[in-house]
Amino acid sequence: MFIEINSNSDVPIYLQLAHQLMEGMVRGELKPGDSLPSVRAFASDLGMNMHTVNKAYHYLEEKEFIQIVAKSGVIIQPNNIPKATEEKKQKLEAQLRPFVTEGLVHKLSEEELVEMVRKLIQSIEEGYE
Amino acid sequence: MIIALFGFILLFITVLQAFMPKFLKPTEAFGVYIPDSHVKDPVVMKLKSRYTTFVFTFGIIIFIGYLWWSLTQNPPEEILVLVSVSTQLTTLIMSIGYYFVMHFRVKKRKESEKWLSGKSEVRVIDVKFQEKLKLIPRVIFIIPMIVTVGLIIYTFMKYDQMPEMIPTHWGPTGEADAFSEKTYFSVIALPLILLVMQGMFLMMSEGMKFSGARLNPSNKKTSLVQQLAFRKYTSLLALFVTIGITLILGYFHLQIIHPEISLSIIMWALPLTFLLLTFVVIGIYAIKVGQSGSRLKVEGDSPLIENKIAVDEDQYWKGGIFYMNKNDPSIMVEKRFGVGWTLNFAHPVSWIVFLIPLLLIFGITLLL
Repeated sequence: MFIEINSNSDVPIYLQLAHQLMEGMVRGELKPGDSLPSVRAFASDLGMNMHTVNKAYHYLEEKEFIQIVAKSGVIIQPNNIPKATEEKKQKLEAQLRPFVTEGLVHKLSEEELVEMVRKLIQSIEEGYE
Repeated sequence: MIIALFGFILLFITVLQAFMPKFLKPTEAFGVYIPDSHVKDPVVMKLKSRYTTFVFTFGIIIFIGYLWWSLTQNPPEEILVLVSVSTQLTTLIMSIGYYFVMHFRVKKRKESEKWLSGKSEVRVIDVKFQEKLKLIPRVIFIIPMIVTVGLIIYTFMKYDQMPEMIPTHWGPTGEADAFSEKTYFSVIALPLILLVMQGMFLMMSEGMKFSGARLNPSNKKTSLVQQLAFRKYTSLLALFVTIGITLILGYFHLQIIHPEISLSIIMWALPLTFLLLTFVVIGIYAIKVGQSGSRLKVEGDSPLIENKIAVDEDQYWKGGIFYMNKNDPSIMVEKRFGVGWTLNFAHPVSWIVFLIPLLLIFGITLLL
């Protein structure tokens, strides 16, 4: 699975990394238990500081999407990730709220916003290529 | 014999240096990153062919001059060796000098033509690169080292049997021509040097695991396959050289302990065969594989995406030759101008890796 990091983007590198790994999980290119590169190898490929990769891994670990096991490395959460709880859903909703609001301020209709989400889901599931 | 050998090496250096641009990635010209959209830039193409013509012509003139001088003047051996090495250095220095001229010209052109503006610089990573990477296993490199340690122990066991003067240097005919007094150190100097060299090749093969892969965003799949193959072949090359030096130095050392196995034909033919074979193997490596596998054909090329280019790392490549990037944890990196690998000199570890073997080998020979 390829990851593309855009160095001119406003999105911080560690977030780009984390998001693309999550997209790989959605597509099934990264399966439960799959191993991810070591921090060192990943940073070497990026030509960037190991700190950046560490930050991305900790971000994903906090969400329990990956496991960082001392010695054996980093793996995708081997236990199936459960469906979001009510609490989790509320949190995501709260995160989404400002974006939906911005869209409404820009005079986007409900249908257009729903269509936007549908397209996003399609592009995430199909990948960039 | 000496003339033929040095002449061959001189010719090899000339051809390799002159045709160097042909062995490299099209996206790197004279140490400068060229985006895919401009790899066929007429000025860059012209500079490449001018470099080849100049270095080749100059090298061939030196080669002919060298042959003429050495065959007609009948110089004494020391002078012949000195001149032979000097001519090789002259060819090398001349090609490197001309490289720098070209390096600055390409750099200037890239800046004035603004090849990078309006493009988004993208870094492409294959998450499974490490899993796909097939190198010669570490243990294969360690076995010859164990043999060497065994040789050292065996030497100490046979210490009393060893001659009072230990040969430390052999002439081109395979006759020992320099000796050291027998001590516990001088008897194992040769296997110690061998051990250092074996260690170097082990590190070279292992270092590729920690070397970042630079994939071309407009040609991801192809560059991935090429990168993986390049590392595999480098690992094979390191193994070939390790086995070669182990056989040669091992034999040279054993025949000090057991003079009865010494055969003068093997003494001069073994190193010579290995040397010639190494040149042939390096030639095949450069022509068939190319730098970063750029000469390997890959089926089913992915289409070019014009707007995405690789990250321009020119700022980290001093003169296009020395890589210095503090953030990049890679120790080994692929050369930009040249076939093979260089070190990330922004890390102290690189200096240690680079200097320790040299100091060790130098130290061992000085102590003799």
